[in-house]
Amino acid sequence: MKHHDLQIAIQSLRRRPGFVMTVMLTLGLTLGAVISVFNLNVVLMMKPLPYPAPDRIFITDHYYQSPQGRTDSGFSTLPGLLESYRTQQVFQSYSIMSLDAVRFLDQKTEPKISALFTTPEYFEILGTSMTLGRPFEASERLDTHHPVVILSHSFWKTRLEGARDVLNRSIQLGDVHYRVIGVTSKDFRAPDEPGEIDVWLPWDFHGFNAMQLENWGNTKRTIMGLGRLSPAVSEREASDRLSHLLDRTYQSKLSPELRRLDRQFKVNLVPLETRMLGDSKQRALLLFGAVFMLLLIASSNVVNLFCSRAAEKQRTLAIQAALGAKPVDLFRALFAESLILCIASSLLGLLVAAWCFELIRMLASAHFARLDELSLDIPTLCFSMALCVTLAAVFSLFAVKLIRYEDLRIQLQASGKGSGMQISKFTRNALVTCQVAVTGVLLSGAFALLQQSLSVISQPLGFESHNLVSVRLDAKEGMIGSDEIDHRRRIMADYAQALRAMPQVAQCSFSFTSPIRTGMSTRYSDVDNREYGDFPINFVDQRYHEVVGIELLRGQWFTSDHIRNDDPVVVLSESAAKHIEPEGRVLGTLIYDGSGVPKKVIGIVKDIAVPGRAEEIRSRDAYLTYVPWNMHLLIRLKQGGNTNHLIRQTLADVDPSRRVAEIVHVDEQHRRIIARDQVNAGVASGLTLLALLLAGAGMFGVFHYGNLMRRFEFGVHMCLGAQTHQIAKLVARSHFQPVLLGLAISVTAVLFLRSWFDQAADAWFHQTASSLFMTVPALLITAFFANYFPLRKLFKSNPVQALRNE
Amino acid sequence: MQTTTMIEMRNITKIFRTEELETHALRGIDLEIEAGEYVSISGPSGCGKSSLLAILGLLDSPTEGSYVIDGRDASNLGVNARAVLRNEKIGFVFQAFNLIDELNVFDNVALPLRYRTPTPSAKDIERKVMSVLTDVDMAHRHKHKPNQLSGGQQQRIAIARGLVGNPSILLVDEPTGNLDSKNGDMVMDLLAQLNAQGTTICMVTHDPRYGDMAGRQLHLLDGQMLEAVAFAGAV
Repeated sequence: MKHHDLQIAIQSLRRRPGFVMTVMLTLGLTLGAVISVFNLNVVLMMKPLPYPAPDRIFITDHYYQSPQGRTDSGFSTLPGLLESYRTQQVFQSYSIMSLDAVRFLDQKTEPKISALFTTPEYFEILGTSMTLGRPFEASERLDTHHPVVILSHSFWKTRLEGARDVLNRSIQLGDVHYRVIGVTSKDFRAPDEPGEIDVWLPWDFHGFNAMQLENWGNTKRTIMGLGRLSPAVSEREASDRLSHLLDRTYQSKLSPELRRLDRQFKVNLVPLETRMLGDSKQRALLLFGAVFMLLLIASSNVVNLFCSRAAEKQRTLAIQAALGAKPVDLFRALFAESLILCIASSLLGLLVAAWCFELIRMLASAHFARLDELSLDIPTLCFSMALCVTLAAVFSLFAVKLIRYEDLRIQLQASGKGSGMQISKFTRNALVTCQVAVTGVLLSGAFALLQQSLSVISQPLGFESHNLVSVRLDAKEGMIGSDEIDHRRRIMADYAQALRAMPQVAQCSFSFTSPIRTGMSTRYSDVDNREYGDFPINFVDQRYHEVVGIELLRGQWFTSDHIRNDDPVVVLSESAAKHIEPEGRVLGTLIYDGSGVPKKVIGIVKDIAVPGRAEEIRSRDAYLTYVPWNMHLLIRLKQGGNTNHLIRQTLADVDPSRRVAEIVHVDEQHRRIIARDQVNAGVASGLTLLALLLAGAGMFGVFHYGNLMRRFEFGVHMCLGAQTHQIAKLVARSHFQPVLLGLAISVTAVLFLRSWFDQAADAWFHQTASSLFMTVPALLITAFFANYFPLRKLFKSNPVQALRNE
Repeated sequence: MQTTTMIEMRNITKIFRTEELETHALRGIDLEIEAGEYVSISGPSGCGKSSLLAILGLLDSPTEGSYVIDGRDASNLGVNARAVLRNEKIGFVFQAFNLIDELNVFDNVALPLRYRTPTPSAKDIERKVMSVLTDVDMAHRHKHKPNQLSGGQQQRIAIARGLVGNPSILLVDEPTGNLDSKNGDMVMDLLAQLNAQGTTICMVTHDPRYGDMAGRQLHLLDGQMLEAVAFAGAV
């Protein structure tokens, strides 16, 4: 391309600011989305994990295999983990980890931070680089009890102002003073599993009691093993050898009740990458498909604009041709314009992409891994450049196709009447069909997401969440000895008494968690070991249903005796009861969990719906008798108002040494849980509107152009006595043909994609088919208006003007 | 012989207004055309011929004045009412033929009948279309597309289309403008023949040779009717 071409193109574009702005905004915004999602795909699919030999790094977790099936993976048992750490021979290097929250007491607000209790091998496996100091070494291995801490780079920067003299400083985390021995480098990214980490502490300080360390039946999601597999051992072999090793010990420790379950202890090896990414790759690919469709819609609009621009430029091109410009020179002239516009749009797109990265991190952290690695890296910049040049070539090719070089001379000879260059009917129809088809697929996805989000947002909880307060006190969660249980019971009783004495409090109760928190679940089976499936559980006291406001339908609620004696009884929600027995007649039935002790169903209560839970278990609650595994209270206030400080004071008066970890209204918890769905609904609505607007604008442009081209023909029809409705019918018939074809293609594509992704994709994708019921009318309405406005304009003009080509 | 007034225009004025300019295309035109008459309107470019023809053909409304066609006041009709009247009372023949390229000859000619309410039966349409095509000697080409025909043939199809709805008046706009002299003569002969059979014709032309063939010649200059010459025996 010559410098001269670019100069002419710039001058020409400067006279068309409206055209330039329309193209830049349409393409820039869309390219921003495409570039950012492309980078997400690059990070997830092309970049290896930033650790040495990442394909040999595995996470281990545990599950139980019985003749009826296997339990879920993703959990580990403490004794199994310790046993494998001490005796395994399949990993070159193996570490164990436990994630917990600890209170950082050196700061006034005493914030809770996340700490990973681990062994020295962790840092060697991940090849951790340090900004200051060193990682754990042999002196911090198991059973050495050296209170040292390694800080994450961000923790060091934000909480300790990046102090260079932090090494050997003592910081208090919980009840222990730790000596700082290192700060990880800025580039070191700890695996997202088991979660985000502020500090690393030696395993010895995990805080588990002896009972927990010996319980083979207590599985936790926050503990796991991490190892680099020996080159000589395959994944399968390692899994078999570890399973054999641990099952031998497991079987030797089984009680007679558990032995009847006929379970084997198994070890699962999952590549670290698989565990970290989950289904992120598939989601990212789907998202790329969605933004690529958006790009297609935007591109077809821009093609339309470029074709109109070529038609507008025909006289200039004719003069250039008359002065000796060859066809290739004319292509270059058009390409120069489109390249300048595409480069400007791409630059805008890069800015938008940088902003999109923040947006993705903010909104989609629950859906995608490695989001902190998003950046405008070399592959992404290359992709942007390639996309820019491709789009410029496509746009100019479409435009140049309109120009018949041999006919350009007519432009200079003819008066201009009726000799205008035209975009062929086929091209116009193809543009509309493509736009409708692509928009249809995109809308189906967006509507499905919207439907799913709205169903969560609008789902009634099934109880009165107003004036209900959840209070959690600092206490180690999990299995505790009977002395500690008795001690906690006494303190909790004192708390309850003090709270009930408050004039603002109507009633209070104890439970493991708030009614809408997604807490633990357990798998129940019948006496013959046939499994009923997973049931979310909550440990609650005798006042819980009264405080929360859950209606008892049949049987009875727990009595204080049930609670005091920790009786093996259970109250089920109506859905849970019907899941076990279709009529819900389960009173008196014995159901079995992993403990081997059957639980007798003594009552059925009305369902509550917990947003954020999987659809199939959303209301399948099982309530068990309260044991103070943690210290959590539910308080029903008499009326609204901010009583947090009064509650805090009352609790402090009872036991000044115990801190309130969290005090929050259940309403607020509900708002937090549905916040993601609200964002999803907003994003889906925005995407829907954007897609409809783009498609509508595109169709309007094509229809308007088509009407202009056919104005002469309509004039003839009108001269012959055609009435407006007859013309409208004529126009609609020709305009709706490509619309209907596009709709048929989109419906077919959605049904095809649905069956293609049937096994793997999310529930939302399964809803795309049903969302066609919204997609089709939405597109038809859009097409109607896109058809109506040009038609109205046509009718406003006099037919005689059409015949005069005015 | 008793005559019927087919067209009656009184004080017709047409003004085109833009933000800066007012153009008086027609200034107080009075015109009467009797049934069976053959009238030609001539004048230099820009004198108002096309504006007058547009108002005559109900393609445009006058700024002022009254217009009665075949006994019906057409001065203040809406778009659809004018379309119905145009369909029933007026046949058009254009200089550029204005045939629709996508339709074959038969369908082009059938168009006015298909816009009629109630729409005649397919059999009726076929009979009438083939009849007028026979009148203009084009029945054998009824399946052809317009671009497969010569200019003269296309104009004969356009005349057939103008006649198929049995209009009260045939408005003809420069019928020979796009034709060579041989084809032009043939078309003019056809129009004279139709007039002789009773068709009322109003033709706009600036070719004096063909203007003379009309029974009455009207001259327009600067939007005003200058003179009217009636030829004895033309009616």
